Amino acid sequence: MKAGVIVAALCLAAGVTPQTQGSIPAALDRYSAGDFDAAVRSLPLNTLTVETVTADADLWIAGGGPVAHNHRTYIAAAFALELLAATSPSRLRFSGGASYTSPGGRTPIATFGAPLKMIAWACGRLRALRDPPPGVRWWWLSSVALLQQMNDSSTLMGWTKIMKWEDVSPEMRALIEAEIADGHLAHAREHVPNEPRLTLAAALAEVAKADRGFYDRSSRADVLRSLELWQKQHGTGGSDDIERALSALVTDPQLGAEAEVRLGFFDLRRQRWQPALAHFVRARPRVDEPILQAGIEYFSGWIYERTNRTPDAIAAYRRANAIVPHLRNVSMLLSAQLFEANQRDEAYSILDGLARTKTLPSDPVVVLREGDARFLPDWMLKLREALR
Amino acid sequence: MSRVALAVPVAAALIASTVVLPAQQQPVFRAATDVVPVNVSVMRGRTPVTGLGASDFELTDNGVRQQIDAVSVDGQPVDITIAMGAMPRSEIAQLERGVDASNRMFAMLRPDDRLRMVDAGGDIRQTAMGAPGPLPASHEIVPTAGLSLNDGLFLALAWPIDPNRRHLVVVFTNGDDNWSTLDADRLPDIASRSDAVLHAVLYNALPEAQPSSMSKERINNWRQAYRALDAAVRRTGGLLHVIADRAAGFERVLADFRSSYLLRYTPRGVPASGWHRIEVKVTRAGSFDIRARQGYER
Repeated sequence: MKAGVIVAALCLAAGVTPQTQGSIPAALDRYSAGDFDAAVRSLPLNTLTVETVTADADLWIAGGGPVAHNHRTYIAAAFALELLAATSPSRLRFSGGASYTSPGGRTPIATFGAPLKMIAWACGRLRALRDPPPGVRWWWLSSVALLQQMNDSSTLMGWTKIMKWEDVSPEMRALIEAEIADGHLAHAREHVPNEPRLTLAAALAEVAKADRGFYDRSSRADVLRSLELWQKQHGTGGSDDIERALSALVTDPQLGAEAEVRLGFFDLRRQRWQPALAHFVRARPRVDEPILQAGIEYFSGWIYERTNRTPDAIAAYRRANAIVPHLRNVSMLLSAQLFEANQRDEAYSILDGLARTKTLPSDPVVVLREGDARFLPDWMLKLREALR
Repeated sequence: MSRVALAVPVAAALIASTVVLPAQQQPVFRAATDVVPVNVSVMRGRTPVTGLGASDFELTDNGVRQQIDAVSVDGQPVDITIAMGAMPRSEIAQLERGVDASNRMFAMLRPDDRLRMVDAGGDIRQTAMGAPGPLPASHEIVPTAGLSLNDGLFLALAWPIDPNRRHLVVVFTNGDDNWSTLDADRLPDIASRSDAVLHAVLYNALPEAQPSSMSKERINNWRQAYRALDAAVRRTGGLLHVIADRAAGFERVLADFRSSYLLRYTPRGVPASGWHRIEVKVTRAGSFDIRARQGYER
């Protein structure tokens, strides 16, 4: 009792009301104090809804008064991203039958409809700030990466489809409409101009529009499946839009290497083996990210395998395996090649290593598919640092 | 030590023992590279044919008749790999009734058998369990986001064989695969190169009997997977069994395997490397159903 009185007195002195443990305001207080993970963990992520988060966060922002408004808005927007990132695996798993609207107007944050609403709310609040705090760049980059991870190119680029929003509050509806009118990426580029990653994101969103099949999540995405999906959608034809969007970036000092890898992968998917290999040859000395380096070798090996260059395929898969060990597809393909070449001991030792590895690295195909999502953990850390 | 250097003493030791050996007098094989083990099932109808010796078999390697060095029946300890990607519905129903198919299966094993589990779900995992016993609580077949039948079978079949043991791979499957890196088409070739005998226990009917709501593409893929699996088991001398009860399926496979003969020979008169096509016949009068691996790679 005595302790409670002291806490209440301290809170009043600090101009805040005491918060219930496990509530959004309490979590925001913890998050604001730098206790980031615990703040996220304190909430029931499976049942929490966007409506609860945004309404309570608005109250929490207002509770800080005009002086704290800027900082609290930034904190709340960052926390909204944290919640989306924490529930990302559930959302991806259940994205199949989900929709943007939910019965009763409440959208659990772990469902497909949550990112649009949550990001629309946070984006709207941040855009309304007169004086954005330093470090907000990481919020914009992370929010775009999160939408890329979900392949939500519509929210990124904007859309005109008429949706029935009768379950959504008028304020949320206004925020969503503002978001989808311009596209979230336009808002991000407005606030972080000349950011190369956002330039690439814009190109990839164009690519995603022309290449729906690549983003089919019904099965694991590997080279073979993405090739099949391409053929299903386009036959042996190409896509000028995709080539144009990526070719424009090839000479960019920061994006050129990745654009070259992506162009090579597109040629591979169209079964244009030699042009694909030529892109990979050009990309090899320019790429410094291990997962993309491994991807170059993996894709090259895959082409060699199909063109009956078995020793070259084995050598390429070995290089990929040395750069990023235990990539599922690379390990399997390399082992199979070795087993068929009667090099059984090495084949089995690679398989055994794969089976013993608890968390496998993301496949390069998935990495390419998910845009800048591979930077999300790092960018979220930078966002946290900026909040301190 | 080179292969050639090993061949002479091993072969010399084996030439003297072209008899059926009881379990207690099994020869010890120091190298698996030169001696070729061939598991042979000889059936008359549904009954295993017993009492056959080396002279009752005719074995050719790339068309050249070979001298059989040793024949044994059910004498060699067995390494058993069980691969499965998902639990059959019938078994889930059994579990609900308190019937544990896994432990029923393990009760059929002998003390010198060794067990290995391969989970062929979204991820490929293996657990070497050594001597048979109840499944550890930590080893649950957890439903995952995919089925990797082809990849799981590759892991199961690629296991290096102990020259003094036989390797039986039993896969429990509905034939579906939506997650593997390897194509089903690759399975028969992989199986050909394995020293294991592969049996597949299918716990549902063939795709023709599936609901018409399935897409044509899905049914075609499934049919292709069945054909590949059928070809793979045949190449190792195994069989496809359609039986819903996992423990009953395992019992049938184990009975078939334990009643089969293990022939060993050292190839002579054929090139050492490359693909070796094997054919096995029984010289006794009568009609027999003979299953044996169809070849091996050196």
